Amino acid sequence: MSAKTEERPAPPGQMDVTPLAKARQKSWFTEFRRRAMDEGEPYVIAAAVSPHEIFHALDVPLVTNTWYSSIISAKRLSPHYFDLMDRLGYHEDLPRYLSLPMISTLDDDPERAPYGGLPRPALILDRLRGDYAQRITTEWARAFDCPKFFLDVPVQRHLIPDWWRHAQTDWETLYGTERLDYHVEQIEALIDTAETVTGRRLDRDVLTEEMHRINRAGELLAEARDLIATSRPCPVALPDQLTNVMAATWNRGSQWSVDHMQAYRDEIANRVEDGYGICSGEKHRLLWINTGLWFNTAFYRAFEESHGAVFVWSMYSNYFSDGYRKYFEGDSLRALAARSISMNEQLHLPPWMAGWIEQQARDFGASGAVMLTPVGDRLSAYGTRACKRALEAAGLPVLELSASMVDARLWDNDAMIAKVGDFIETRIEGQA
Amino acid sequence: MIALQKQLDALAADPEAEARRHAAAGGRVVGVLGGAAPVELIEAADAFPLRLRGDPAGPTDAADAWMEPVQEGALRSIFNQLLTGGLDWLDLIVVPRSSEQLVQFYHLAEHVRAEEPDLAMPPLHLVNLLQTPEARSTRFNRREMERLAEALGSLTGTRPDRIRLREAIQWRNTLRHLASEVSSARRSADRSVSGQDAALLFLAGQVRPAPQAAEMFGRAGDLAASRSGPRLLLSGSGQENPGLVRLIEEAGARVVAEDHDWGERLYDHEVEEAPDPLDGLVRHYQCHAPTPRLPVGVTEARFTALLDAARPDGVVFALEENDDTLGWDIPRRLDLLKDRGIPALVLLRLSFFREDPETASKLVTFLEPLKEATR
Ligand code: SF4
Ligand code: SF4
Repeated sequence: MSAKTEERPAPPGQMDVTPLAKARQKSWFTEFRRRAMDEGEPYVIAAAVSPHEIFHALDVPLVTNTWYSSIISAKRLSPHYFDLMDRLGYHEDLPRYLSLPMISTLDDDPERAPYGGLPRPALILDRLRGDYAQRITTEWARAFDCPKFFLDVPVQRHLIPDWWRHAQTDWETLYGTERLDYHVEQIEALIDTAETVTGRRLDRDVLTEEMHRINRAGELLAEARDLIATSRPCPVALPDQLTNVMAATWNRGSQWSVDHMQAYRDEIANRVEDGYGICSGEKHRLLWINTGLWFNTAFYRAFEESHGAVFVWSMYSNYFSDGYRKYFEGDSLRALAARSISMNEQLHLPPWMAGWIEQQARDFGASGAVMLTPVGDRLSAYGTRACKRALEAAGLPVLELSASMVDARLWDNDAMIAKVGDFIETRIEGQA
Repeated sequence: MIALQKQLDALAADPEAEARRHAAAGGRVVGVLGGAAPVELIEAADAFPLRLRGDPAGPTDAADAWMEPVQEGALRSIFNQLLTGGLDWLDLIVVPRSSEQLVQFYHLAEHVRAEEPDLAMPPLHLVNLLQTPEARSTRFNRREMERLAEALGSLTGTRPDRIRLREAIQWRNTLRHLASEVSSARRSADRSVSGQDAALLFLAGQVRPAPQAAEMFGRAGDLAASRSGPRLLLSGSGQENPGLVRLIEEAGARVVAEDHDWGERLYDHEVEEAPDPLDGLVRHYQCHAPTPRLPVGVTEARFTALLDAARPDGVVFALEENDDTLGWDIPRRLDLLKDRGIPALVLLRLSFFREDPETASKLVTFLEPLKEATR
C-alpha cells in the first residue's frame, strides 16, 4: 500500500487502469475512516501477512500496520516518532518501520498523528514473524487496552524445490499435513476471537465464494504476467504493475478485484496487440529483488532513457498469482491456511526465494537484477546472500543496494542512480 | 579428587574435550544449538548432548559466502565450523525453533547441503518448538518430540523409552536444583561464588553429561570466598564467553544473576513429573525454555522474579550487534528499575568477535557511584 497522496502528472505510459486502482484505495480509506474512525465501528489492525479474508468475509474494516506506517512516513512524521523512540529508550537499531504506528499510539497526540491517530481497535492480529513482532504488538495492545491474537506458524522442515509448481493444487504435500492441521485449528480459534470481539458471525459460504474469487483474480493476473514476460518491448512499467496488483491484493476476494484484474489484463493484451512498449528502445530487462522502493517508484524507470534498461519484474508482479491461488473443493479454511502458512518463507528462504526468482529471470528474459537490502531490518536481509549467489551462478548479474528504508530523506538518489547505471554498463553491457 | 578450580580451568581451556573423548571412545555425540534443545531426550537415547559454541577468534569467511553479516556472531562462527568440517565428528545437530536466527541457520545449512553435497556436514534435526501457550501448540510439540525421539533412537540404537527418559530428567532436575544453590551461593552476603566461576559451572552443564556437571555443581561451595563490590544482574543477549563477566568483575563488581540463555535461566525451572515423562518435557520446553519466543508477559515476570531473588545493586543490559528483539524489552525494564531505585547501564552493539574498548570505560563510569554506595 503506497501512501502517495499528492497529485502528480501521470508518468509516460501509465495504464488507464492505474488511476482506477488508486481511486479504489482512496475510496477504501474514505470508507474505513467513516466506519472505524468517525462512527466507531469495531475494526481490526492486522499484519500484512495474515488471513485478512476472515475479516473481509465478516465485513469488518481492517487496516494493516504497514499501511499506517506508510502514511506516517508520507506525512513526514517519522522523525518525530523516531525521536520519541529514542527518548523512550528503544535503541536505534530496532526495526522502526513496523513500529511507527505503535509509537504513534504511545505518543497519544491526536493533533499530530495522521487522521487523528488510529482509534482503539477491536483486535490486533499479528503473525509471530521473527522474534520482535510479538513485542511490538504486545506493547501496542497494552497502549490501546485491546485484545491481541498471535498466529504462530510452524517452520517448514523440508523445502520441496519449485514451490510455485505445487502451491496451487498440491499444497497439502508442499506445506505438510501437520502444519496445515495446526494452522487450520489456529484460524478456527481466530474466527472465534474475531466473532467475539466484533459481535458478528462468519458466514462460511461467503468466505468460500471469496476464496474462489481470489483464485479467479489470480488467474487473470497470471495471464497478464505471461503477456509482460513474453512481449518485447515490455508493455507495462513496474510502478503500474505494483499499483494494480497491490490494489487487487489488498482487496482480494471482492468482485472489484476480479473485475480490476480483468481490465488490467485486457489493457495489457491491447497494448501487446498494438506493439506498444513503455520503452521502445528496450535493450535490457531487469528484475527488482526483495524490498520494494515504495517512496520512490520513479526510480524503477530512471534507466530507460539513459540505458534502454527496463525493470520488468518485482515479486509483486506475480506473487499474488503464484502464491495466493489455492484451488480447493469443499473446505476453504484449509486452503486459506495453505495461503498464509509459508508466505514469508516462499519470499525469503534461500532455495525458495532463489528458485522462484531464477524462474522469473528466465521467463521475463532478464539480463540482470537489482536487489535492495534494507539496513536495520534483519528479517529482510535473511536469504539475500544465498539468493544473490544462486542467481549469479545461474548467469544473472546481481547488484545489491543497501539503504535505510525508514526515512525517504536518507535515500541518496543520485548515488543510487550512478550505481545502477554503472552496474548496467559494466556487468550487463560489459558481458554482452 | 581434583580441586574444582582446576576442573573449571580445564573446562575453560577446552570445553569440548569431554565430548571428544566420548566420541573417540565410540560414543555418540549430538550437538545442540541454543538453550531450548531437549537434552534429556538425547541422554535417554544414550548420546552425549553438546551445546555448540562459536569461536570468537576463529574465521567466518566460509560462512560469509552464504550468510548475511546481520546474523548473530556466534552462529556465523558455528556455521563456519559446519562448512569447514569442524563439526564433522558430531553424529547429529539438533536445532530447536527457538529464535528466528536458528530457523535461518537451519534453512541456510540445508540449502548449502543441497548445493554442495561434498561437504562433510552432520545431519541437522529441526525441533519445531512452538511456545505459544495453547493446547494446540502442546499437541504439536508432542509430535515434534516423538519425532526427535525416533530419530535419536535410530541413530544410537537405544530408544529413549519412559524409564530412560525419566532417569535422564531426574539427573537434569538434580542439576537444576543444584544450580539454584550455586545461584544462592553467589548471591550470599559474606562468602560467595564469583560470577565468572558461576558462568563456568553453568557452562559445564551445557557441555558435560548431567552427572558430571552435578558433581561439579555440588562442590560450588569450595569456591566461596569473601567478595566485595556492587552486585549486578546481567541481562540481554546470550553470553557464551566469559569476556563480559570478566570485564565486569575486573572493574570491581560481581555478577550475581543473569537472564540470558547461557546462565542460570537454563536451570531455573525443573521438568515436572508427568505420567508420561515426554509430556512433562514438552511442557517444560514450551513454557519455560529461555528463548525470545516465550510470551512477553512470561519473560517480564521472570525478570521481576529474578530482581526479587537477587536484589542487585545495578543492572547491565548487554545486547549483541544487530539486535532487533531484546531491545524492545528494555524501556519497560528501565521503568521497573527506576521504581526500585536500581541504576542500569545499557551496552549496545556488542560484537561477538571483538571487545569494544569503550565497554570497559563505560563499566567503570557506571560502577563508580555504585561502589561508593556499597562501600
Ligand atoms: S529508448 Fe528512450 S526514447 Fe525510446 S522509449 Fe526508451 S526511453 Fe523513450
Ligand atoms: S518483502 Fe517480505 S517483509 Fe516485505 S511485505 Fe513481502 S513478505 Fe513481507
